[in-house]
Amino acid sequence: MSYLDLTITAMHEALVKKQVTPLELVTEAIKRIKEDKNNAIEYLCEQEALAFAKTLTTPEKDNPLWGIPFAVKDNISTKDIPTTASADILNGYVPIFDATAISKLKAKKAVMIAKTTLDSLAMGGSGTTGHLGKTYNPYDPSHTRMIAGSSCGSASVVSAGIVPFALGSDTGDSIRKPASFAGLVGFKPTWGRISRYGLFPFVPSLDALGFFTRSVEDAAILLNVLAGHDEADYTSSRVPVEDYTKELNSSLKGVKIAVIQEIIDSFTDQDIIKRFNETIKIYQSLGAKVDYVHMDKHLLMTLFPTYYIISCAEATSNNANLDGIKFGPYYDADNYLEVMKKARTAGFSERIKRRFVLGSFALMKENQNELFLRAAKNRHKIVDEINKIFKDYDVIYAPASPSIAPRFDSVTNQLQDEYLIADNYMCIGNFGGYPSLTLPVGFKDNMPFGFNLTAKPFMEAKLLNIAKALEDQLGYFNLSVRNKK
Amino acid sequence: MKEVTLTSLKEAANRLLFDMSEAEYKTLLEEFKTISKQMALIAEDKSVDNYSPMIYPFPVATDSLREDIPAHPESRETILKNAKNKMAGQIKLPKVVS
Amino acid sequence: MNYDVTIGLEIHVEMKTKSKMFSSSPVGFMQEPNTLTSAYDLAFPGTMPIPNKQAVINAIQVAHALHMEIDHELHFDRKNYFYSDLPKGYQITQDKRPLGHDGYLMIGKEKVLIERLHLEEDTAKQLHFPKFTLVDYNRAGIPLMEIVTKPCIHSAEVAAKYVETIREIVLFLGVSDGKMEEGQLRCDVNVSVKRADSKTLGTKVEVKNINSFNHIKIALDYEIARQIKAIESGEKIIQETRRYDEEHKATKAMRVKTDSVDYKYFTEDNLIPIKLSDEFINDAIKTSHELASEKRERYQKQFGLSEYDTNILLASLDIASYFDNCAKLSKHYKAIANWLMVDITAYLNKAGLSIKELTITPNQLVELINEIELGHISNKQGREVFACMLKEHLDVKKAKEKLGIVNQDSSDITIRQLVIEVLDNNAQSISDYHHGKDRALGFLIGQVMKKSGGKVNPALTSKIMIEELNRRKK
Repeated sequence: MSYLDLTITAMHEALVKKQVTPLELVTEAIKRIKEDKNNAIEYLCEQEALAFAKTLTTPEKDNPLWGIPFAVKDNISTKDIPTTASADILNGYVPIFDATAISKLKAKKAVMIAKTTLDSLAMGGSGTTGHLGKTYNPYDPSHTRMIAGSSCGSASVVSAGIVPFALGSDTGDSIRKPASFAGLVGFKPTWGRISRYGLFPFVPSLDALGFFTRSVEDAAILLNVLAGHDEADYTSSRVPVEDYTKELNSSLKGVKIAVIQEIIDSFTDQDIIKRFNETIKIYQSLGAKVDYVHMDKHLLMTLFPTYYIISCAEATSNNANLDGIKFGPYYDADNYLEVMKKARTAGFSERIKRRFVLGSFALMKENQNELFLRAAKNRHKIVDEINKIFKDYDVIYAPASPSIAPRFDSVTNQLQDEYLIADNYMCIGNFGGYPSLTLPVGFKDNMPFGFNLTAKPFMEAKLLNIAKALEDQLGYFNLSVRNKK
Repeated sequence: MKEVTLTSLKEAANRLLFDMSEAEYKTLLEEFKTISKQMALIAEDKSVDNYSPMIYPFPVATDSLREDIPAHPESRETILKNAKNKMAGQIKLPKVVS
Repeated sequence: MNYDVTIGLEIHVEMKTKSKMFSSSPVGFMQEPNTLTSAYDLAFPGTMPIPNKQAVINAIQVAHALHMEIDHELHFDRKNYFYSDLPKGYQITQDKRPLGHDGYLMIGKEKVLIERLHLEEDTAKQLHFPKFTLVDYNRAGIPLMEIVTKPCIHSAEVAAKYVETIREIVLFLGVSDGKMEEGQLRCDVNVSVKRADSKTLGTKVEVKNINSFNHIKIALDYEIARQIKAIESGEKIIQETRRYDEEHKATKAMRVKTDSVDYKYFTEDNLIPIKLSDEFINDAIKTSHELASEKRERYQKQFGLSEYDTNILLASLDIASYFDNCAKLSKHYKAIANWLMVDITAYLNKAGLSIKELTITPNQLVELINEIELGHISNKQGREVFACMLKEHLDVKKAKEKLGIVNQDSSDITIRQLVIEVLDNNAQSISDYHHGKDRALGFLIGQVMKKSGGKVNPALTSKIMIEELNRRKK
């Protein structure tokens, strides 16, 4: 086993003890990227990473990220490193500034080694719509199963054992769903907890910058670095940050876990249900109180259309800056409208165009009340109902995906409960801005799957505590295809 | 509600400054049928209209505003380095007729 | 036949804050293209808006001057449309909740109702050439406020006067230089005309591109006449946008207004609501610069200046400020006003300078005026000193030295002694004076001047001389 296969925490110890150097880690990570067959990388920062790693010679004992290699979803702005959001319309775009999250990681001397692919403009959940086409699930060497998205590349490189963590973004479940299929911890913070400055906006009120790690503790360590108010993001919260590792090992006595019966009822995979029930017993044995609570099934079935309408509508506006004039490929024409139209026709995929048209319909004056605003009202109702549950409970708990990673050719009926609820309920976390986390809990057909915990806003410490307790019991810790259990 | 037809979809696409193929418009029309059915689920619940549209996930507000202190601007070279069509330190476009 | 004219105005005011509305890029005019920008101004992905406090304060001050209700929470929306000068593909504005609403402005006896005042950001500037257009983003993101009246104005005169008053307000508040020619104040006008006996509303025509104060009335008079003529000849007025053509002093059709553009407004969720406390709003109002109307009242009532003088002083904010600075140092208001209106204005005009470039400070001017008022120097000498100060960049004292001007002796006792000496030696002249020969007075004063070596104040000497002559009258 290479030092690169350790968690952040263990890698940090090895670095401090000088058992390994940042340069060795980075060199190994780059080698693994070059050998990787999963279609995960948009841009390999080979020269930059090696040059930076060479300067890291004196380990910093109190800085857990010193010399740790990491990867970044390609919709996060990186100065002087191409950033395209895997959309042709941004081909060749080289940002002139770093996202705040990147500045913070640079300040901690973590080493960015690659930009990872995604569903184009983060609009998609299959991990198949970016520049590179399909991104494969490293657990399936036959390349028939997806890793899902939109943060597909980041999920892939962490589960392939290339880096111990990667940044992603989550607007509906774009970190937490792929985390389930990749056997990873996927973390989305409270809305406003981590600065979004430099994250390409999809739906600002739903977007969150988060990350994949191979342990709950690593997630807490990263949150410690990334959380906090940022003068460059007006929506970033001024709620004081905490030490998120502080409560990691607290007892679960008195913790209250809610399971929404109607969500569980929408799952059909019996292996997943069975495993879910086992974990409930574990939680109970640890002293937590687990209750089944109810929510209107009809309301749950509206989660997806609510998400879809709001996200498509806002996406049209958030991507209106993409026209080939200030950045991206320029197309010559007789007038400026044609210049923009050529760039946008060539630069957006069909799927994105369809979403934009739908979104613009939802925003039209004559439709806005019935579509966009009604979806926003329904969001309000959903969040009100969830908040009622949170009056009595610390977390809401459910499987993070209806199954293990689906095959690329699988077909879903988009009007069925399983699709509308089991496959899409995690957008609740974005509707209410809740911190939400997926962690690995089991394998089926050699493919991992995970469960999801969602907590009240700013209750990250508690959430990580509840997740860590299960991780400790299950032993699904530091998973990657190289560290199989 | 504006009627969803191939024509109105094309018009909407053109207003967003892009075009699609005929086949793509047909796919989109089908997609609208699905999403319309899904939206109908929301419309069934009359209580929804009693809620105000949610914009932020939870109540947020601030009283802090940025002080009016100018920062160093980007150099012209930096700010325009991603633009492909330039002239005399400006972005060049075909003549814009207002 | 009588016609009802209805006019509504939308005025955009570009603010002269130090930084932009939502980014920290510097605000500047007439600078090298694309040297005052940041990633936000060109809509680089992932940049976010951060609102400028001073722009909010400015808007509160103007809203207050327009007697508006001020919202205690700021909300921003996106106005979505594509244009070559709009980098984000949307403009951040305030659609649902403007900062100010329901105000008014008195124009003479007419009350112009103002519907709303809201904050937004400016677009990039385009330079059009025959075959291409160049885009400069220096202007992109400069804070704008838009002030919209109700359609409640019924004459071109009031409309023009209204725009001038708005300009005066933003100018005196220090919010904008309000130069229409430079686009710092832009004005779109909606005009409709109907027969007085007609029940149906007239068709609204929008007139754009009026870029000088002098053109407002001309453009509106033309447009009103055009519509009346059309109605009289039975033509239908088309709902359209017209532009003012300066060369022909006429409005020209630009485009027909089909169903209005759908801007697909929705809330800007990269910003959160901003709470404005009573304290914040009151502070903004309290620290407002004095309005022209307030100055006008003060100059006339407190300083006793004439309406004519007041208007001349208030025609320029810089002159008014200079006057105010002087008025803080001396109560010789009329003298200060005269100097500003006559000698200083003449000098500046001749030299092609603005008052900001005047090397004589208010302190120095007041010192000079005091010298004259105290009788140390004559008016004529005062002008010489003034000219010397300008030419040699000297203060009052040094200029006097340079010119060799010594203080007139203004001591009553000294002068009286000299007068008595002269009278004692000129009995004949006294008799002549008392017999109505006025020339005798001039002679006697001349003797005093001669005796003193020209150092006494002539006016005072004359006064004392007459007193002493009268005393010797039997």
